[in-house]
Amino acid sequence: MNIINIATFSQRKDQIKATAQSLSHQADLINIVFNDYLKVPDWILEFPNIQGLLPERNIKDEGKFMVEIQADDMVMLCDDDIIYPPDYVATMISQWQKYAAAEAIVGVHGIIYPDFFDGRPESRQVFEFRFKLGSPRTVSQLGTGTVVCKGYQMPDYEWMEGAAGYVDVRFARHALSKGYPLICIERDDHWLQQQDTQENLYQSANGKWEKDVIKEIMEIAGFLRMKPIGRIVGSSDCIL
Amino acid sequence: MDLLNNSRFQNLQPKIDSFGFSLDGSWFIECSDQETLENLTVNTQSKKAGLIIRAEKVNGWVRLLQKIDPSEIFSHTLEFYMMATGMSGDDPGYTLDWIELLKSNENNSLEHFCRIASEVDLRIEETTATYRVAMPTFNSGIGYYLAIQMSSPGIVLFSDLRLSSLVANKRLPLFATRQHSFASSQATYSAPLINAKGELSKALERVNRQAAFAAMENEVKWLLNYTEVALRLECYEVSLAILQHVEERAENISVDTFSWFAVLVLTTLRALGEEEKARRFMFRYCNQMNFKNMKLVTLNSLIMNNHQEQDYVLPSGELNFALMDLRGIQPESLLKFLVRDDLNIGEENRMLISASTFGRIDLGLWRFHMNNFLKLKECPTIAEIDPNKSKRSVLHRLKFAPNANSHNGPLISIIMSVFNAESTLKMAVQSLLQQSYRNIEVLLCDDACTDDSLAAACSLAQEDQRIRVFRSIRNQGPYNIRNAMIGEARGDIITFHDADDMALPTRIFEQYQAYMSTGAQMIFCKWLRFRFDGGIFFFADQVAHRLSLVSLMAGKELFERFGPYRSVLCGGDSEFYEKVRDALGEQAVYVIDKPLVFASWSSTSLTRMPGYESNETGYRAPVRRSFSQMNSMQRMLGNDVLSDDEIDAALVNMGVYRSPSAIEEVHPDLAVVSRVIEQELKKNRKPKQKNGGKTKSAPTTTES
Repeated sequence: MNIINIATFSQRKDQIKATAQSLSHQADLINIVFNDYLKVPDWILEFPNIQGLLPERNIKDEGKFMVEIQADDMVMLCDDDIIYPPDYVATMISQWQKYAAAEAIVGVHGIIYPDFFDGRPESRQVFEFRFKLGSPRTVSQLGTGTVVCKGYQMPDYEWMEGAAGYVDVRFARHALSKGYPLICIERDDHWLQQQDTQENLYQSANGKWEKDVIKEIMEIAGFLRMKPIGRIVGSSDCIL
Repeated sequence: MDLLNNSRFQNLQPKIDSFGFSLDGSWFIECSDQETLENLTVNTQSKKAGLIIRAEKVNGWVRLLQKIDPSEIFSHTLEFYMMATGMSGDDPGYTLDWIELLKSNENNSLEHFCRIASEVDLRIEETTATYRVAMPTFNSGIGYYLAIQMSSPGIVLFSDLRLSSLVANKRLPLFATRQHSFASSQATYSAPLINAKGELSKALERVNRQAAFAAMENEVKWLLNYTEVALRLECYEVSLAILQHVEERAENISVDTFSWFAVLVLTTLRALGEEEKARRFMFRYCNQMNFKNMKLVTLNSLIMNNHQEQDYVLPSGELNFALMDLRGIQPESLLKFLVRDDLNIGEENRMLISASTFGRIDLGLWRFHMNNFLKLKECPTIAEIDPNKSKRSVLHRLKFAPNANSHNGPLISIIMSVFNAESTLKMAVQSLLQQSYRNIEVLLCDDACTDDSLAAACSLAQEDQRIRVFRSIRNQGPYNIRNAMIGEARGDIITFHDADDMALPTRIFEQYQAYMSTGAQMIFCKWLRFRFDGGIFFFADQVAHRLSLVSLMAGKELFERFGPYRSVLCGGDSEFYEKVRDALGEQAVYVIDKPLVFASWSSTSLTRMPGYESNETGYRAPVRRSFSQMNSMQRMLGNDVLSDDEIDAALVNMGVYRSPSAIEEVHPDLAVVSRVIEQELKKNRKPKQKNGGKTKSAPTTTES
């Protein structure tokens, strides 16, 4: 089964619907976690394959990981402020299959933290999802709004708990610990489009670079921890 | 962009201009109507208070505006940071309508360009928030404004507003009343390298800062720059990992860039001891390299040390005496080689190569060429070489001209850790006692030697009262010894010397002079390293005349501030050196460009000992590489990322950690007597057993 997981909150009420619409014909089931909603909005009734979930507390972006997944499911983690193209799921699954032998997890938004990452945002190499990437790259971290993996590759909710605001980092740590390479796929400009949002969902956590987050980042940082693509797919005849 | 600092705030009287006024040219207040404007107070009281906007009656809206120069902050991802508080009447807290970037249109009025945030709740306590914004494309011909809008009565105090480009590493100060930033917050992180003054830290900071550009511009160039820094940090595994990523794109790399890449590859592989891989690399990619005089045999010589004449020339056209053994060359062919006009090797290297080579024929020739070099460097020259063909090394046989002048000044303490240095100790210590600078004390500390070093030290001390002798209860390595001896030193100026090295007679005086006159806190000299027969070691970077970290001379307070040395067998010197450089900057370091130390590079030297070696071909033993990497990581990224405890634990695992242990001062007479008694007892108890040099104790000498 192809499953999409999204977390949202009330200030994104306009964006989430558009996001859901862009994905509605592309998956068997779309789980949307409605943080800080009093009730699941009525509009989801328009989409028979959307399941609305109300968490007991605001778990923010951890919501993407709260739904139980079967090992063989194909899981797409998506964001509530992105408009996904009609071929998104098919393309992503095809990309995942391309690297299936290496058990890679693929995504569109990738970040490389160099080995001496100093905590500054500008010290990262970012392959932003909105822009073209000519060739695939292994990365330190994938944005979990553009990730595709198998159910068995998903972390437990317990693993992700406490990582609200930096689930991407925690997810990358999970992948590294399991030996799943992270690959940022090639694509054209504006294949994915960001909606005009009024506020960043996880603003406080995203900008602060708290020491604890840095500690987690340092666990995934570095070229030392990333194999080049050729080695991952086993086609490399490189010498080094 | 630090929004608030852009203005020179004073208590400003509104200058009515339509429904608004200018604060100082960069900030504006704009209101929707006259009544709102008339009920508005803007107060900047003091830098600490920040910018206060009090809106008593608002019919429409009030906007705080600042013009932004897009060329300063051009980027597709911006970050807006705000620290503010707010009150609405008697209610704690205030909600701002929105924060936006506006642009001027054809009618010269402002219109929406990009929303940063809306319905921003401020609390009565200081509130901070950060917003990342994906920007539409800027147009250089249009004016842009940052705008913050409020539309209900209340008071808002902005204490810090910043707009930063995540890509261009530009932070435009919009408004800051205090030093609030990510870096200064208790809960947040800032890497030490960002503010470090050391040249290497600055280099890393620069290349880190360029990371965001790398994805859009020349990524391979950035990766190679990063590799260069990693190599300077002696992080060879990191270097290799980056180069592996570059190799995947080898087919698309320009010839010139490929040559750069290849040099980095070879340097890295040499350090890692991956000779076979290096050879395969060169065979595979030789067509893509743009080296001059490239021949396979020449390339091969980089790795294989083939002693062919052409091996003297690196593919780059430079002399490759780093990776070959000069001793394997016939002097006649070397002579032909040295007079070649097309070799730009420099006068100094020509002299040293000559000394190294012709010294095998005749020590007189060795002295002739060495003295040419020493004269060039304005050093004391070698007066005599003991003709006695004993089995002693050339260094033991050198005599320098007696000092015409002697110098005095404050007491300088010279610390020497001694481990199984019986055969070299006398030569090393006498070279100190014969210094032209007379007011010295030499602190010899026996690091639980298994030979007769202690007795040798004691008998030297009996002859010269400037020597003090100590002994360690357990073997603990040179850096623990240094830490203990710094505590024992009576001089306010301290330096070090290895137990198998010779100091030229002016070493201490020249370093003292530099210490007093340059203002630098760390004074070093250079050294040459010699084989037993006088052959000179050139290194992979083609340099023989090198910085001697052991020669550090500094005030005692420097060690109190930046010490102690780590309790490690190797690399402690470098760690201390870089730590001070980062804190005090390059001006803290002064290196005398003279070979004031002649070092013997024997197998007992730590830098030559298997498992700990750092040799002239560029190879670094794994424990050295690991420590360098951890050391660099901590220095650059801070103890929060890698603590001392974590490093020490790793060093323990690698077997290069040594716990400090007790040290006692030894009276020279007592030591000699007790040693004799001990030897006699041994003779009577059992047959004498040779240790065979198989001790696992820490060697005597420190680092290159």
